[in-house]
Amino acid sequence: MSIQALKVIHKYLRHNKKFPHVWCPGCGDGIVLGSIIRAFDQLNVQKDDIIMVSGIGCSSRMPVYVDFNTVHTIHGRALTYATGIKMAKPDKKVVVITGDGDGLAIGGNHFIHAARRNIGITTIIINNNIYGMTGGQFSPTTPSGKRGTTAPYGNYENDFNIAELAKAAGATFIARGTVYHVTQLIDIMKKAFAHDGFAVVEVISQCPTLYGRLNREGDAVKMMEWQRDHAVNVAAASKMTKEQLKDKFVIGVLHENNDKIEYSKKYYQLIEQLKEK
Amino acid sequence: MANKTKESITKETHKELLYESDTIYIYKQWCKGCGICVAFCPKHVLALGPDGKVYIKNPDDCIACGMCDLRCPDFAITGLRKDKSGKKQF
Amino acid sequence: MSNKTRLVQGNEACAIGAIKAGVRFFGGYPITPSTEIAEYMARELPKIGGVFIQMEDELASMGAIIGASLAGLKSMTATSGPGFSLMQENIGFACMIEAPCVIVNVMRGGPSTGLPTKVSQGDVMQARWGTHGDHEIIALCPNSVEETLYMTVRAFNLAEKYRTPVILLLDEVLGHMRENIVIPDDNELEIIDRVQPTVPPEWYKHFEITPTGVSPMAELGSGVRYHVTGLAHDELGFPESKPNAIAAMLDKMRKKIEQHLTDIVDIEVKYMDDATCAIISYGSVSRAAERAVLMARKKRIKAGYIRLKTLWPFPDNLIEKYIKNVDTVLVPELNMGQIINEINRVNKFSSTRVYSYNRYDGELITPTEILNKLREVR
Repeated sequence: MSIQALKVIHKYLRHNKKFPHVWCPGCGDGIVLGSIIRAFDQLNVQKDDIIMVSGIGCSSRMPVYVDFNTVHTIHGRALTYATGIKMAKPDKKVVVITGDGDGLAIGGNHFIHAARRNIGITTIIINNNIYGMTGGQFSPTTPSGKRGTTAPYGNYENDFNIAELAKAAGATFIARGTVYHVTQLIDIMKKAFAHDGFAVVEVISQCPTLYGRLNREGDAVKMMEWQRDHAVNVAAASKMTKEQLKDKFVIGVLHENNDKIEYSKKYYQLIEQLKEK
Repeated sequence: MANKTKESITKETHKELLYESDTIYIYKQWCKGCGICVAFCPKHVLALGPDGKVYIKNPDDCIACGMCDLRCPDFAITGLRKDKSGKKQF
Repeated sequence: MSNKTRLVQGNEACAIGAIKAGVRFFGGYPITPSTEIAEYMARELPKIGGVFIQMEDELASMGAIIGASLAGLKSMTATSGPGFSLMQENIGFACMIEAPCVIVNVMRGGPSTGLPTKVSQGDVMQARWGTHGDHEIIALCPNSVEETLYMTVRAFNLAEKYRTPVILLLDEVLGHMRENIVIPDDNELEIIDRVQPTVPPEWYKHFEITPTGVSPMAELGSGVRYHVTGLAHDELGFPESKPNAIAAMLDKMRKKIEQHLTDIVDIEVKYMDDATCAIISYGSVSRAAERAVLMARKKRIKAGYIRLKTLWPFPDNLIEKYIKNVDTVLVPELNMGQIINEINRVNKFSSTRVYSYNRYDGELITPTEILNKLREVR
């Protein structure tokens, strides 16, 4: 009898959906899905209590594969449906799966306001620095100079720093992980899901088929080695100089604030107060 | 030997390749041959076979770290994961 | 028994009707001349345990109300022309995932920023075809403050019964005018809720193809887990790529409305028994049209009055039935002629001529204008 039968992942997949899933070989999205499932499993959250909402893009194809309450919506607006759902069912865990394009370009405005409200939604932004689904156009996180199909001479635009944007907008839990550092990623997910407020998890991932090819970064393995070699933990980074951190990015829990009250909680307190009058 | 097609070569060698051991199980239908598990196995237990999919090359070297399981994007490989106390997780 | 007559504004009547219909979620963005509805909801909804949220724009408003609808609440939003344009993609999404919700559009002068504080009926065609792709939609149009209250309740009932977004087209005059109305008691109104599933969770199909076309609807997080997507999908909500299955699902969504026209479409008819000419109107213009018919009758012109209470689906059969027997039809509209195209479409009768009378300068059409035009074309 094989260990396969005891694999936790299978308890959570929708086995009436066609597998293997639609993502390219080596795409990091599947690793993120595995981490989410393991995080929820370790937190002992019931499937009925999880509502997963996504927009449009490769990362947004995730919800259909997992046996939660899943909603696949239109481009960039996942946070708005999630807001309505959280306000209607404040006790549920609402998770938004989005990408760098869906979440920060067309969805940028909703990202800012959901963070401002500090509504109890965990947003997982799978950042592969490209628009994968539509064939490889540059995104708001494509570094300057890198190629995309609509940036054939190299990207002339500047890119966002997601963590700083989230912090300025008011998010109360901000973390960054990579699909290489998968054990840490699961741990980050657990903390994010348990956080009461707007939690942002940026996951550095790879698109070997498009970004990797267009920019000669190699296959999935090479791109994950790049993640391994350029990520610095938050604790270590605090002791390094600016010069040492030049080409690196920081991973771990970057910001946490438990003093701000979560939006739906505050609104329901108002409802209680009005009832007593 | 030269006359044999690629397909018949893989059919023969498949019988000899290992897809299940005490600590690893490979579900070939879901493997897309990305090579992530092979590249990041600390003990070089895994390798890609002639059909492009993973197989267990050195089963006895496995230390049950479970990283192949955690890093596989397609859930095609299950690896035992022993934690510090020696207990097994999946 | 207290005297229940009150002087109520049109927008307020809409909000009162919505609350009586059971709305418990309002997501909106302020825009003249609909803002009063949002303000009323902000005050009253939390008192009854409902949720009001001012979203960052109209796209977010539609998103929030669709999310709340999936989570089991009756939800609505209110806007005007420019906001209605922003909502179109999401209206299509609501049609595709069959999510009940009510969208109130208090029409104002357009296009673009147009005339924020003045009246028009310029969004009639947009209500039908604003969003891309083939879809059915229900659009209702009241003409008095009292009817606004009852029609808002009807809008929710139709939305829940047929699992579809319903558009309620008011206009700036109706939204801002005040009339004496009697506010009905809760038990005087029929309230319809969505059909709940009766099968075990494992058998549940969120888009089940049923004989009526309406599928039962479970709420998110209720113990029945399902997937919803805007992609062409099968009965389970999974993305579908086989051509006959895609067509079957779109046909189901169309039949859902087409097979229930007698329940959905509604018109008001007066003085048509012996009429030789008819005025077909809707919304605020119909108040002037009715007055014009009475003035015409005084001049011994046999005029009849037909008012469209449902703009979409267009009441083909009912209109055909009445225009068959008249030789002249006049269609006054506060736009360059939108619903007249539908009347022309159903007019198969060579003896019936259809004429328009249009104003699009932000001012109401007067009864005298309508009468003069009628005398000219009759």
